[in-house]
Parts: sequence; structure tokens; C-alpha cells
Amino acid sequence: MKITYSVEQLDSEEAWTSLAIVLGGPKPPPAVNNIIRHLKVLCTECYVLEDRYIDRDYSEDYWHFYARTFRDHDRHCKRVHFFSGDIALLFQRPLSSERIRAIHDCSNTTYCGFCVIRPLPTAPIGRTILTGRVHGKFDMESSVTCRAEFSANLLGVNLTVTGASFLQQDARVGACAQVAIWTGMRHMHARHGYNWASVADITKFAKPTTSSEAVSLPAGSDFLTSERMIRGISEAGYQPLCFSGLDIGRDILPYVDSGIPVILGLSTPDQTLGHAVTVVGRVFAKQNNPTKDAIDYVPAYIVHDDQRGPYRWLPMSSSASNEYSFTEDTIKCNAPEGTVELNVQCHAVFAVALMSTRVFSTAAAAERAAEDRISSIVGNLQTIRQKLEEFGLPVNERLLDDLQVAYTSDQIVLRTYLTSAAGYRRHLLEGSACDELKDALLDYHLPHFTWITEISTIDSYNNASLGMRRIYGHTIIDATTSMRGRDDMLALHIPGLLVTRDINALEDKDKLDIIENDRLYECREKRLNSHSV
Amino acid sequence: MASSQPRGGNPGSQEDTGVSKRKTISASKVDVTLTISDTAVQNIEKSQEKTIKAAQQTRKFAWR
Repeated sequence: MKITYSVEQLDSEEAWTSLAIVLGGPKPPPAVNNIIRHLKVLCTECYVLEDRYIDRDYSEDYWHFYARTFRDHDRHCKRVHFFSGDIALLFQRPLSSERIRAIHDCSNTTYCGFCVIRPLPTAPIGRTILTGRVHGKFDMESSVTCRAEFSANLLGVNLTVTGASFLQQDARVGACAQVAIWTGMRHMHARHGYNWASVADITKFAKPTTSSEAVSLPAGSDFLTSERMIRGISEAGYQPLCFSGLDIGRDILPYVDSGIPVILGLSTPDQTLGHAVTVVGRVFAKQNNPTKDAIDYVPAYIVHDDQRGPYRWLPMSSSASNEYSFTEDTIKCNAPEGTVELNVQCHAVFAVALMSTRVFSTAAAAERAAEDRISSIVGNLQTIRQKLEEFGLPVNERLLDDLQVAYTSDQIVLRTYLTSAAGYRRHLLEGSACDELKDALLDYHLPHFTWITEISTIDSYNNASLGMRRIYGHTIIDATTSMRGRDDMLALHIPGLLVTRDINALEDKDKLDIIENDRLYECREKRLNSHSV
Repeated sequence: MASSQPRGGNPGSQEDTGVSKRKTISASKVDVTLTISDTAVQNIEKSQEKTIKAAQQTRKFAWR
């Protein structure tokens, strides 16, 4: 038996309709329509249908469920590869090394990802990874922060795509909760080498332990409670970190900015049966009336919704949705009062982040500690500057003046995220910080994980363009301590001054380095083509 | 903890000598410390208590 490959052009509306039928059958579900919308954003020009394909995720579901049913189910899937260029000529027979090499060369710039089609009429969309480029609008920038590189082999050619894994919910074997966790765990597997887990594995990890949890067959197929989700995440080797209350949108931002998957529970009022999605990115928008709160620059999160498709926008509030015209890309659900567009402020009631077991402090604690030290030092800059002059040490007058003015007028913007030592150094090296700061920090000994708090002013932060947001400095806090001590801050940089701590020194722990020719430098952003963690 | 690279007092450029010419002093000389204040530690504790209370008041949900 041979695998067949057919190449189709997407040069007309009819062709797109045919693709929708290939992906989802004669009545494509909403997830398929939204995959098509995303493929149009990626300027997809043609696709290759690979028939037959053995998919590991579907094979796991098959083994745990479909192989045991009386009715026959096919064991094999199909896979569709998408390209933003015309590669039809390259697939003409006979295949040769030269032609295969040409596919490889062409795919480097044109491969948009793939979609596995399961032989399940009610839930055909299997593992899908599409390039995580989300279209922006005026004065907005979208960033898929949970993105990793995935590869697919086509005729021996390794094709790579950077994005976040998507899967449609198959209600017979799992609920949205398992799929939302699967999306997060698959990212952690691809990006950071965590264990591979299928939906069936997650259901097994989240085993029912109370009577109210054990009310569906197969166990876990109908719903998961929050407790079971937490159990499943924990059993899989992560530290679940939960959020609830009115400030969920604000609370999860540092984790989303860190590229940590966050499962978000959405519910309409008075309902106890909600819907879980995975936050995989966020939208940044320039503000007309900018504030000092980093969350105010984020009008929406980017989520994978197992029922409605990948890379959907979840507005922060109903007013954000109206202001930025998110309408077509948002998540809507049916409620007694009619169709409701979901948003974080009104509908997010629960969130859980998939944390490494090596992180022992939260973003909130780190940011409070950073704020304390920044206030102490920037608030006392006049005295510090006088003393530096007495010692004959140079002072970066212009930038420190700017920072002092911003501090006194309450215009300092703080942004906190978690990074690894390697990721921190890589960003510092590739960024626009002055060489002297790089020289001082690149060999600074760091724990595996640190919380970084970037220090901007409203003026330097309020830029829609990715590379234009600038910082005046940053703090480094050890994320491998519990934040119950007072020695957790390792470094603080403001223009011209770098304070570092030798945690093993018995006395005089803190050193001050003078950074001459210091300047503003870029905020860290997770660019699609960047591999920094 | 920085590397053992010698610092301060060397007139040569970094490229020429491989030695940093950065000036370093004890932070305490200009009244700067990285030690987190007691108030901040208390605030962190209080915010954690608030988080625990909010978690306890959360309604029970199931997700499908």
C-alpha cells in the first residue's frame, strides 16, 4: 500500500469550500471554519493531502476507546499540509533527490503547518499546528507566547512550523478540560522537553476520587471538575498554580508573557458547567490614555478553544471588544439570553498555570518585591546622585532625570515574567542594551529560573510596535526561593547603575557597578522567529 | 555573583586588555541595598492570604 499525495490550489472560494469539506466533512464544525480563517491570515496558497497517516495522539485514543467499541473505526488518519506558495510543480512524478531538495528549500519559507484529520465524523480535527502568526490591527501587536517548533515529515523532508498545538474535542473520550490541558502540556513537551501526554493519559492522571466526580463513562469523558484538572496537571509532573477572583486577567498576564500555558475556565453567570480554553498569547494595544498598569495595554488574550478553533481572541472586557472590533475572532456561546461573546472580565472564573516544579515563588510576590526596591532606590535618587558625585563617579543625568520625573508623577510601568538563566542571557545578548551592561550581566551567576521585572515609563512603553517598547532597567529575582526571605533580589539595573548581590558573601553583599554610556533597551518579546525562552 | 574578572583601575580598554574598566563600589556607600523591606515582605504575606481567601470562596465548577 502506498501513501497518496494530492496537491490542491486555494485560488478561489470554491477551493476553500472544498478544503473545509476535506477537513470537516459536508457540515464543517466551527473549529474548521476558524482554521480556514487562520489559513487565510497566513496567506495559504495550496495544500497537500497525505492519505494515510498514523497519528500518535489518535492511536492512543484508538487504543483506549475506539478499538474496544463494537462498531468499526478506522485506525488511520489523513494529514493536510499547508503552504503559502505554489508547490504543485514540486510534487510532479518522478520524485528525485533534486525535487525533494526543492520541496525542502521551498518549505522553509512557505510551510504554514498541518492538520491531522481523524476518521471521526463528529470530531475530525486531530492534532493541528499552524503558524502562530495572528493578524494585527492598527496600533496593535499580537504575540503567541506559547509557541514551539514542531516538525512534520513529508516524503522524507522535515518541515518545521512554529505555533501552538490545537485539537478538537472528541466528546466520547474527553471534555474540553482535557484538551485544554493537552494543549498546554504539548507546548511544554515541544518547548521544554516535558513528558509527552495524550488526552487519554490526562484523563487517567485526573482520575475521579469523589462520588460527584465519578458520574460519567468512560470516566472523565463528560466533564472534569477544577479539582480533577488540578490533580491531572499535578500527576503529570507540573505544579498547578490556580487563580480565582475578580483579577484573573491581571493575575495571569505575567505567566502568559512568560510563555507558560494557562488554562482558563469561562462560565456565564449562574452556571456551574463552564468551558475551558488555553491561553497561548496576548494582544498589545497602544493606549490613547495610557496608564501605569501593564494589563491596561492588553485588550485581549489569544486562546485555543477546542470547540471553536485555534488562535481565537478573548477580549479583556466587553468594552475592549467594541473598541477594537474583535467581533469575528472572538468566542461566542449560547446562553438563555441569546448569543453571548465571552470576555475575561465577565466570564473568567478560574485559571490554572502549568508551572515547573523548580519554581518556588509567584509573579505577584516577585513584582511586589521589585516594586519595593525600585521605589526605595528611584525615590531616593537625589541623595544617591549627590553621593556618586562626591565619589567622583559619573551619573547618567538625562535618563535618570526621565526616570525620576516618571516616578514622581506615578508613571512607571512594571512588567514581570519568568525566564531561565539561558533565556535571560540570550535576550540580553541579542538585545540593544549597551555593551557595558552586557559585560556586567552576561557572566552573572543565576539560578535556573528568575523573575524579571522590566522598568519602563508610560512614554517608553506605550508603543504598538514590537521593537519600539523600551525599558530603563530591570530587576532580577531568584524564582527558586519562597519569597519569604529578604535576600531574593539578585540585581537591579537603572540607567548608569547596576546593583548586584553576592548571596554567599557574609557582609557587604551588594555591589554597585557604574555603567557608562548606558541607554534604553528593548523589552523582551517572544517573536515568532525567536527561540529565546 | 559575578565572575572573578578584575574590575576597576585599569586604564586600558576592554578590547585591548580583556579586563573590564568598570568602576565598582560597595552599594552601601551610596545607601543602596537589594534587601527587601519588612513592609514588602508583609505585603507579600497579606496578598497571599487574600489569594487563599479568594480561592476558598470560589464556586465549584466543572468544565466540558
